[in-house]
Amino acid sequence: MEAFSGKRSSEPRSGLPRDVVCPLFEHPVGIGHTRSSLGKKGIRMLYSILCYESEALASARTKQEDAAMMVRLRAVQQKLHDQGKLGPVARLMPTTTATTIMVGKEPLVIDGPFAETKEQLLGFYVIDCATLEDAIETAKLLAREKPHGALEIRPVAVFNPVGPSK
Amino acid sequence: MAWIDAALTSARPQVFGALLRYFRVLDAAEDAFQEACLRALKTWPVKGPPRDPVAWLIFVGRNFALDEVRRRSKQTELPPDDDISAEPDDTQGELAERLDASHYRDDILRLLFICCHPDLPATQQIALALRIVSGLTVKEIARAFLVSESAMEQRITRAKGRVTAAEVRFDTPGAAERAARLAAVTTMIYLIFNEGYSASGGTAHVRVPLCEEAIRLARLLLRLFPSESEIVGLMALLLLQHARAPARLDAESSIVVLEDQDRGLWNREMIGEGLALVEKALRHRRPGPYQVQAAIAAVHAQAQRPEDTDWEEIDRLYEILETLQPSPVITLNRAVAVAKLRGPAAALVMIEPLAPKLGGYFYFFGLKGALLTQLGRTDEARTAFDRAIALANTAAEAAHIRLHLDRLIKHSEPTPDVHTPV
Repeated sequence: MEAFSGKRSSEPRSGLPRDVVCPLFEHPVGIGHTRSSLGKKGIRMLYSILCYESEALASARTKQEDAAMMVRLRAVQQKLHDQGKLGPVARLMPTTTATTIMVGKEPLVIDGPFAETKEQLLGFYVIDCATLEDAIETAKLLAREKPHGALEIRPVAVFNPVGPSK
Repeated sequence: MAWIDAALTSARPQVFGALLRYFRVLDAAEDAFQEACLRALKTWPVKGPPRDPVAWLIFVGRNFALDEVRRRSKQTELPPDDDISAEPDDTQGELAERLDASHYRDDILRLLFICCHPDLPATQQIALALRIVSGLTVKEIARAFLVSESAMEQRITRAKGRVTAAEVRFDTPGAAERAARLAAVTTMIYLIFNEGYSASGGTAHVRVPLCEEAIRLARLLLRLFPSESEIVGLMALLLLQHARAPARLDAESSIVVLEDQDRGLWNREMIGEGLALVEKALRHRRPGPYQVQAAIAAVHAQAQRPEDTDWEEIDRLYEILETLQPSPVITLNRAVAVAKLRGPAAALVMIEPLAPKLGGYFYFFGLKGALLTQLGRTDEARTAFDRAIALANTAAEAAHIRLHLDRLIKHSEPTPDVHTPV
């Protein structure tokens, strides 16, 4: 489990650490903001970077290759953190651990990921960038350190790292 | 070219399975797969990886084999090997993908079922699966099982011969037969893991590559059956056991028992995934031996220190396991929990009736010796340990027991050290 601010979660299953707050992300942002308010001074723009890769390929990597990749990615993360750009980072467990709930009056629980696709969502980042161009350049830094797959940049509409605000 | 190797390895079961569907003969499918891999190694570094390596390999492999047939029948000139048209562009790739996506599950399952054909003894099933599905070389498999390369070659050839003679069925088996054959596949994967986890001979006590291969096969199977709780349980069990691998041997390759292991060395990522899977499996409320064993491993994994271990829970889980799958080995394991809860005397009473059945079992005498030591019955303990050394499968096992003997001889305070096989 990677976590931003360089801290590592000691709990194996805890998900994102709760006690780590990056100054840029300590307040909920985006709530109530519309696209028209973007670009105004003081309103930050968050982008998510969704990491897709073939799970079969990812798990075929040797431990050494994986470790080497993580070292390179951490270096990029450190750089982004130092620039105050980096928010939550998550590496997801394999899709075999996934459970899918189909919404409805009687939600249906299905074992496995929502979609059986060639590439799977294996992790994500939240980054703070002024423009899409900047987000693309930032994603490219990560992309250069990954062997396969794709990164999808998706602007974040609502981001609340600390639960509902009072 | 590590990424090409990884891509070929991960694509192998599906591509091989599809080619076998076309050609129906293991050797023909193998040739076609080899050829497709050779072309990938030639083309991919130049052109970059195809968008869908699996579809690409199936397409190229199938074309190669069809060309072979044509070449033989017509004796006509064919375009040279590196002709571009022999490789799919994206449209052709997508076509191949559409054709094969619907067969994905059946293709891989058929491959696994062939390897676990009921006519094959377990040793041949394992060898065939490692060769065909995992793609290990004969040399690698021979080394893993400590037999000569020619002996392993023979074993695999014999297995292929038997499968061919038995005429592999290409229709989908009925529900009952499928369940039985699926059980054979899980057993095969479990046996591969066990061979790696606790080697049955040779110098190395733990053979990590076999464990990793078993985990890869389990993942493959779990992707086909995400709701089959015993398969989820098997996957969890393998991960939770393998997570301890870095702590199971010390720098001198001596065995470190569970209690003495540096838990900081346990692989937390694997434990996390294993625990998540145990939870998923138990939701179905269809308990089975793998799930219960995984639950036991989970209890150990969750204890921060040995003294935090919930032995009550472990005892209860072994009790369930005894009813699901009665076996003296399981009772032996349960005795470890009983020793923790009610003392060595109670555990000894429990294992003594097992003697006739476990008279040739290393762990039986290891545990008996340890319990007798704790009770201060030194002479009897020494006899049990001597017997254990005689039955040891690996040098590390023997050395571990000798350590106990040395302690006894020194008449030092007996160390309560119970050897847990699980």
